[in-house]
Amino acid sequence: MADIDPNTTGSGNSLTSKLFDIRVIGVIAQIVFVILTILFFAWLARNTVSNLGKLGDAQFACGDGTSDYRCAYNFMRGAAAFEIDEQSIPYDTSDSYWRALLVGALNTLKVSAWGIPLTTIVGVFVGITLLSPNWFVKTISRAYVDLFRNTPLLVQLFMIFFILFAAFLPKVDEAGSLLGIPIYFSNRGVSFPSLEFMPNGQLLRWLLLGGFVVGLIVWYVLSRISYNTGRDTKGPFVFLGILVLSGIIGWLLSGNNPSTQSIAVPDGSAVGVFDDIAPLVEARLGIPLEDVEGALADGSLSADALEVGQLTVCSTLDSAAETNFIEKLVDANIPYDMSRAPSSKRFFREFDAGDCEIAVAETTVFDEGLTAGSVLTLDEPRTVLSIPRFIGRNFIGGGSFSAMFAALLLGLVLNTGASVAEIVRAGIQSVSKGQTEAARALGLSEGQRLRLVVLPQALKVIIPPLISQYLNLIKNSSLAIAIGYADFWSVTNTIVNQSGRALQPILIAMATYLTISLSISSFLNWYNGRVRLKER
Amino acid sequence: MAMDKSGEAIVTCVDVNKWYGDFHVLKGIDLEVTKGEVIVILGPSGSGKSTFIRCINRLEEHQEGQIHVKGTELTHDVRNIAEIRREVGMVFQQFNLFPHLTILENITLAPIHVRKWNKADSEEKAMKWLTRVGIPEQALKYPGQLSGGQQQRVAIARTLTMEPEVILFDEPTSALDPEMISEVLDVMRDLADEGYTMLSVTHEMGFAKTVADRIIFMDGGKIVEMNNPNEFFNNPQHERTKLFLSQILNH
Repeated sequence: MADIDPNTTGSGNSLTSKLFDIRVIGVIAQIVFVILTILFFAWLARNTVSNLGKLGDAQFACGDGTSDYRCAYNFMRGAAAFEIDEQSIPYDTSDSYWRALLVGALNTLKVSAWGIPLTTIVGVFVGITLLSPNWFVKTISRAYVDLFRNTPLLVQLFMIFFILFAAFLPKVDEAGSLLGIPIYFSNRGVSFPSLEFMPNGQLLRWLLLGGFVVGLIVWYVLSRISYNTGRDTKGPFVFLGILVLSGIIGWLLSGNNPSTQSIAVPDGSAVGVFDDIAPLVEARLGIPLEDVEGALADGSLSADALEVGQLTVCSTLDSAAETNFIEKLVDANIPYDMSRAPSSKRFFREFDAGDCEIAVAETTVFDEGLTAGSVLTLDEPRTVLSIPRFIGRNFIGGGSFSAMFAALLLGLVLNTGASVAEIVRAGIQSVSKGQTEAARALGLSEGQRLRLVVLPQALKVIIPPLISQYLNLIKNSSLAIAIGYADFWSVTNTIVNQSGRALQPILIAMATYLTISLSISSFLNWYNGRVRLKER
Repeated sequence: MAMDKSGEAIVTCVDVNKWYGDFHVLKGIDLEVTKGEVIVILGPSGSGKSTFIRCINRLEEHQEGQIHVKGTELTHDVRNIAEIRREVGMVFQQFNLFPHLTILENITLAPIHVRKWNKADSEEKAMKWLTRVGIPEQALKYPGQLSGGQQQRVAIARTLTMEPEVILFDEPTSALDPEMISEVLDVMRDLADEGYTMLSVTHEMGFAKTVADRIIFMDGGKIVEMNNPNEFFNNPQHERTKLFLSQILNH
């Protein structure tokens, strides 16, 4: 046995035996795989270029008559020319495709930003109730999870939007307030009062926001101290105190600037200051303003007469000035009719044509484009409580969620929440029974047991699959297109149809979703790393 | 700790019965444990001995009879359960340390959150007990870094830092490698010498003989025989006890 050549193992040294060497096979397999991959992508690229070639040079028009691959995205600067129902930033049809995409992306982020925390709450809650000793609670939770995990999300969205909302929500003109609070549910969505910060109150807003963040941080630090020392550090009260204090400071510091808002009246108008408006309308209607509602009800004032006599107002979209002005009119019982122009160009056109007696906007808007008439200052408080009111065919004022947004959010939260619940349940069950027994034997309450012993251990099992559920929620929000919510994918799709270009918008869409997903998963992976480090 | 074995009852069990479905696990257990007493419970597996001591701090629920700990009755009232769990410590076969917390955090968790002691006091007491069980240098490690015997000693320190009136041991050495058993038994022997009230389910006959004040032999959910160690091992009264002892002591 001593004279065996150490370089040979097994059956000799021939070429065939080399080919069966597992190391050689590994190298050959890798080379083949690389070649096949290159061939596939080469074929894909060739195919794309040839198809784009067939579509013609128009795909790459540079705008100066020439065409070049480098101009592939130039068309994105052209006017979008389509409406988007829901927008977080100003947008109208003359804005570019880029702007339209941004509006869509913000809508996607908006539904995700609401969806992820709500999903977490639903998922953790249901995950815990799935393990409840209470048979009824457990069965209900199980039924919910099974229903939403075993049906497609698209079907759920249709169910919520076309069946649930259509059947159970009133039409917009029949929407009643909720228990006397001005919150209105209708098949168009939900409108609710909101606190609007006027330009004068911006400092207050930022201080409140800062106070909120600082308060949360202090609360967190205090809870760490409480965790370490067992002392009750009254975190929630300290948090509230900081919030109130920053509110007071913000209130005192803000509101000393001159008003940034104005109303404009045509030349020769009888209105010189705001207080002139009430007597003017009162004279036209012929009855005191506070009696208008009663007179309408008992028939002594006809709807037609009101329409003729009321104040007509022009405004642009949802401006702070409009909110401020409308609340002032309501306080003074002045009946009004309002037309909202989608752009400042239309706004001035309507005003110049004499469509309204008063135009309301930020002072800077008037500085830019008012050609005739005089600008009066509008008294501007720090904040205005804006209440939704049904005017014309829709609710104006307050905050609102469209029915599409509400349906998409509800669908995404219920669907993803069901999966998260299963993840949380599995995570809790992965913690051994002995841990629970030890916690109980030491006298920890059930809440302490869950918070201090079970959940911290469950978390390292829960977080990795939880990350993919969050990403699922964001990606699945692209199903919004089915119910007409203007999310990023829906806008992309409209651009594809309208511009006749498919490749560029879809590449942008993929890059955008990739960016959003990778940012979120890298953040959560970082967090997961921190959680895991706690145990060796 | 006072060597006061003069009869203040810490745990009183009267006619305790328990069923798992139709299976009658505990059949009318009567027992009074006085302060400072060390009781060892022996019996074949399935005799209900672990179930019985787990009833005393409500890890298992008894359906009939009464259990009192220091005058508080163990009922469905969560306040009573909480009160009793504060006074009854337990050491488990599988140690059940919390793997996500350091040794020191394992020990101070309940003192801080249940006893509401401040952190400094809790850590001082924890370190005192860690020193007592001989491993103060492990305080900042995690349970996974310790040997089984060390983990069980931490578990004992964790239980004792809560200053319980009575400590339940549920087969504390059964999951240990043979060379680690004695380090745990030594700690338990010290506690017994100091006058702690202990109820221990164990298979360590040497410990039972030398440390116990009373031995209880259980079989089929009943207390078959109860006596002092000398009488129990040398003069067993019951046939079942004789059989059990012959099976064990023949090795």
